[in-house]
Amino acid sequence: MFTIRLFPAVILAAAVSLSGQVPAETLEVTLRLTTPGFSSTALTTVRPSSHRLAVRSRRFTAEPPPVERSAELSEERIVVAGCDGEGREVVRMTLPDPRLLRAEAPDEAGRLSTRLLYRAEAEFTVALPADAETAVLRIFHPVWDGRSFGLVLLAEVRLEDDGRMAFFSMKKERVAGEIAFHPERSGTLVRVTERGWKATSRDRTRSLCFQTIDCHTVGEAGR
Amino acid sequence: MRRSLLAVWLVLLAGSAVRAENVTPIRSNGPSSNRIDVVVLGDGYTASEMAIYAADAETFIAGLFGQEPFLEYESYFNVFRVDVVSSDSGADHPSRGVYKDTALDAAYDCSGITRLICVNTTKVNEVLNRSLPASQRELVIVLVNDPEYGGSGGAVAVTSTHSSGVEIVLHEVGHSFGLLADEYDSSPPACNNTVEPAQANVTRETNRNLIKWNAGGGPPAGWIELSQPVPTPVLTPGVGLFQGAKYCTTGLYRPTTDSKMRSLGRPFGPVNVEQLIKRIYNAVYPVDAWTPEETTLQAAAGDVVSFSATVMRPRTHAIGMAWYVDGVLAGQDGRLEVDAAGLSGGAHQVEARGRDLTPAVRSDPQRLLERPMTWTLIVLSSLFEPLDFSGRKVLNRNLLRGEYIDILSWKENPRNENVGGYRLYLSEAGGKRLLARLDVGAFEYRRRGVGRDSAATYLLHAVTPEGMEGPPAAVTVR
Repeated sequence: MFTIRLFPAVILAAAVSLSGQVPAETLEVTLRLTTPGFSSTALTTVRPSSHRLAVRSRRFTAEPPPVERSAELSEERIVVAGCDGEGREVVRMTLPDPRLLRAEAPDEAGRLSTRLLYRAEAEFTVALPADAETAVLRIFHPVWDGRSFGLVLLAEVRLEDDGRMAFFSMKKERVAGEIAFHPERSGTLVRVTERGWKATSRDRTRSLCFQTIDCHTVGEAGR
Repeated sequence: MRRSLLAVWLVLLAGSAVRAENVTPIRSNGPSSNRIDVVVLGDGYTASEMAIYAADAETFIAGLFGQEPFLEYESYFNVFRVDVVSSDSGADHPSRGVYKDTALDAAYDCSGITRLICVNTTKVNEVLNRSLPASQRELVIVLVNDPEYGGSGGAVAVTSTHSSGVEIVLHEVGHSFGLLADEYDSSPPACNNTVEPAQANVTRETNRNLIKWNAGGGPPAGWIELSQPVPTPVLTPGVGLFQGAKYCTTGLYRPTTDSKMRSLGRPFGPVNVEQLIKRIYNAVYPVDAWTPEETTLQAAAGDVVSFSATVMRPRTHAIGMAWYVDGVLAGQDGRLEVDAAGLSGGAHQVEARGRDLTPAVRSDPQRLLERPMTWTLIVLSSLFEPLDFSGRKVLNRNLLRGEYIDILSWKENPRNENVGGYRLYLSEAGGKRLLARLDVGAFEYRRRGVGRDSAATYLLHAVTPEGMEGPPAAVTVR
């Protein structure tokens, strides 16, 4: 009886939302980013560059995804790009870097000092428009060079259609591409620097999904 | 869609199996789709301490919204308290051999740093996933039931119940939410003053015209008064260019002598407040909703069309509204009424702009503080009845038999500006029946096969291109 009473309410919420400007439903995907060679509780003082990304869980909700009006980048955030089965970018968002842990405290004189630590394993949840048909999620780390941000691909994961959860691992040398953002036009992609693949058309440089990553399935995700 | 609904149903089933924590909204200011949702989780509070937790959370949130810019923009936030119950009270202090069984595994001495509290982010995520949609947790704060100073920053802000907890979290929110840099100059981390920092509150630029918080070289868009020396001697009041920032004693500069990004217990300062307000507007529009929702509207000449904006409400100032009809300023209130009689027939553009006019933001090149809206208002032309509508019955003889025909004729009314055609109806008991849709160039219609002795009343309407009928001309043919 409990679910029978709730189910129409959820449908109604989705239907009401459909009449507005926002997507009716959200696909929430909880991801686990792990660093090979480190224990799950390890903290490192150097930002890890090699990761595995796995889907921990996913669910649909009737709430619309959060609004992000300006994708202002920071080295303390990550960029998540959702790609459809054709390699088209269908969603992009920024999130706080789930790996980062700031240890800040004042000394006896009240002066602050900090240490930046990085979790070897971090979980986070992304909220995707449910109708975007996201097939692959790619996680990038913005790197600032004094003039613009480059996006370094950390890892990607495929969202299996049949509900199975698979994950891919990537070798560090294959994660060497950068995509630059113009500093005055936050979030606008204007150039690509190449270190691992070749962009073949202008349109492709506007997408975070264009390049083919040579990755291999290493097994089913643990839960 | 069917698969999506099935998944929702499965989530509900799963949700009924794992009991979600109790969630209490402690600040409800509007729909999550246009608010920033803050979630407070407690750790180290036992079931018997839930009332203490509620009081601690309230004190903490009141402190958080007691400082600018969060004080002014409190109505832009919702706050949810999640009642996480722990088996033990307090937190781990491994250096003293104190270990507690708590729901989120809060522990001091994390990574060997006495005042660093770490929590188990997997458990935090599990609680969040059980309790709230991902779209309702833009800021996550874990409140640890331990009076000793401690906390951490990052994707999840952690603080103890120490009196400095609010200051710790505000500083960390400055980083994670405001994307602000530390303004203190002590290392570690290592100083890097060889490149321009990305953050809005630190720079290596010493040319006042190029300093990032001094757009235009000074007021009104920039923050450094022309009388302020650059670089600025320490302890000088106001915004300037103060040497020492982001772990560097030289080569990098901050906007004020001191701020919350440099020392706890200080205000954020104008430049950081400006950045935080812009970050608030990264997730919130200054206008909640517009009416009408439809963006293309039709009105007849006599109609009055109402437009309105539901605006956000900062604590001490209002969102400015400007309404334009065909580019001409038509109003500055929350609503606008457009009398279609004053507009010519055809399409008109109604534009609205809601903008936060706060003096705390001087430069907003991305127009984050603004939300525009445009409607197309189609005013249907005034129509008048066709002229000289007349009719006669004639006998049409052929070889086999005769046939009666009603011949109707009319003239165009020169007062009509925009006629798309005509509609001819036959008046009947209780209504009328459409006989024909006629092109704009038609001025005669023949209805064949009518009775010799019958009478018929015809109604003829001019019609706009959009399909609106004018008043009818009528004629009875006997």
